[in-house]
Amino acid sequence: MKSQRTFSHKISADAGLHISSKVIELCFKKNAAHMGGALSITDFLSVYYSFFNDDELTSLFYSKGHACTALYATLGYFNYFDEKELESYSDNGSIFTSHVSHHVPGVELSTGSLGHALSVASGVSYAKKNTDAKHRSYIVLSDGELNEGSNWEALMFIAHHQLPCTIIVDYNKLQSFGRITEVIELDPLDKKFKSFNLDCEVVNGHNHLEIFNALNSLSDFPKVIILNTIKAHPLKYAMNKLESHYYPPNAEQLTEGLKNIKDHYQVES
Amino acid sequence: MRETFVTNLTRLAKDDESIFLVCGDLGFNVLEGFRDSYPKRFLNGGISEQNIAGLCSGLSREGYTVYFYSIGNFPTLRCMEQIRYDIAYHNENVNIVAVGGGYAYGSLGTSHHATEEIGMLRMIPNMMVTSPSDPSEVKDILEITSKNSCPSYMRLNRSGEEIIEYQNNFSLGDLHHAYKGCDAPKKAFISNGAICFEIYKDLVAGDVKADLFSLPVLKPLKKENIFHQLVKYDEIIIVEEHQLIGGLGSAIQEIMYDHFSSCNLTTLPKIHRIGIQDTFQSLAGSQDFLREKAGLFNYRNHI
Repeated sequence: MKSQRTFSHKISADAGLHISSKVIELCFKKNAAHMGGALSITDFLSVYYSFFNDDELTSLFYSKGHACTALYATLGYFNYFDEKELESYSDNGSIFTSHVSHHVPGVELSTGSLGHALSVASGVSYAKKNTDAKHRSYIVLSDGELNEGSNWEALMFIAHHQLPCTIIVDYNKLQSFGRITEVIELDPLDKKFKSFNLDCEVVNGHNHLEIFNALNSLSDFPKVIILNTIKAHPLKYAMNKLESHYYPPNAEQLTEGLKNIKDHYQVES
Repeated sequence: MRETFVTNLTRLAKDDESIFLVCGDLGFNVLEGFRDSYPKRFLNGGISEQNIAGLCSGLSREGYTVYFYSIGNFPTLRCMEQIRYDIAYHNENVNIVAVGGGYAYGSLGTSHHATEEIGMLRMIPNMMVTSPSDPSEVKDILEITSKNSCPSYMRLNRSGEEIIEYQNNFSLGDLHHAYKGCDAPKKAFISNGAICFEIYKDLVAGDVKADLFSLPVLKPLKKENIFHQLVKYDEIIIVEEHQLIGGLGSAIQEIMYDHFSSCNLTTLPKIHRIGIQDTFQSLAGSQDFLREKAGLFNYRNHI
């Protein structure tokens, strides 16, 4: 699938509305966890797949594999498979496991153990650069995932070889069992990346135009985009709460949540 | 063994442009030839085995036949989950080659003793696991891994190992007949890695009436062949420079007992397993000193 690189609020907001709604419906129907971190990255995925994805020239490595509902819903929305297949999510025998599986069409790499995808992507980008192929890898990391030292090995490697990688950090500031500030402080996060000789930009991870502009202003060199996001955005009952990492919505919360999503994207568009 | 590895890899890389060598910041006086011959297919990934294992998976995805060379524990234990998930689960063409198997780097200390990695890697689906007994088996295994596309591990010793004159040709997953003391002996020794050559020397010197087999590939194994060949003996002595749990002796016992339970035979050979008894060696010493301390030379009691 090849996207058109001209921004249109309507295109990505329609995607965001659909994908976010699908995420909470899936979590409700399957009593599934990890809703919060899926909703915080939905806007990035909506913009990326609307305007930047190109099966020949780009690869997306989704390192935060636990937030799989967002990626599966995105790939379904963008016709990598019949969206109805997603109804089997997490059922016995389904390819849609609750951490991202490469058996799902459109998925590059199985993830779920954190701190793996950046290294694999660096190997792909090194090989592409070695053969002068025009290609860019996009790697989506969670913030809590940055506790894993393997990411920092990969970042040094990517910076040293100046590989064409775009590293996206979903900075929702809540990890699995506490706030980032309580567990392992990441700030000043942009300075950490810059001190590794990596270009770094901080944007509002729920503003599609800001995400578009950050993705659109890329050279052939590596770049980090820190998305300031809110876990479980835009569900009023769940936003910025640790519980959203675990609990799916109940019936009442689902109804309210779907309304929050609709209101948010209608205002946005 | 390491010279045989790098010389033959350099030779194969001439015709096979997919061969790519990655090291973890080592290989002084060993890897320069490959590096200088094929600079675009050589990478020093630095001291970062977790990252290297992942990036080898990425290189394989782009069509390379990747060799990841480092010392003992580092390209194995240090990055075991990357091997399991990024390499083996995705069935990537990544071949891990470790120098310093067993106590080869004896005096460097426990950090450099590779004595658990075979058992750990043998458990991971899709992995081929090998421990050649001499340089000729290094060459045979390298030929195979350069042509197939599954992930693999090869344990090397160091340098200067001698060649064994085998009685039969190398065949993947089969016993490799290293020594024949007489016709139809009642006793067989089985080993792999550099310690196999120690047994070979002892059997030759003593003109011992026994067989010695190398089993350089621990997975995949031709289990039926191995069972039917070994069941002829009264006594089998298995020797490995590895923890007894999970290594060569475990692999052979699994075959013997699994097949015994479904065949018509009433007896099995007596099996003696000689390996490391769930211990670390914390003193300095040569490879032979540490082998002695670990009781590995107790196979001599069976000669």
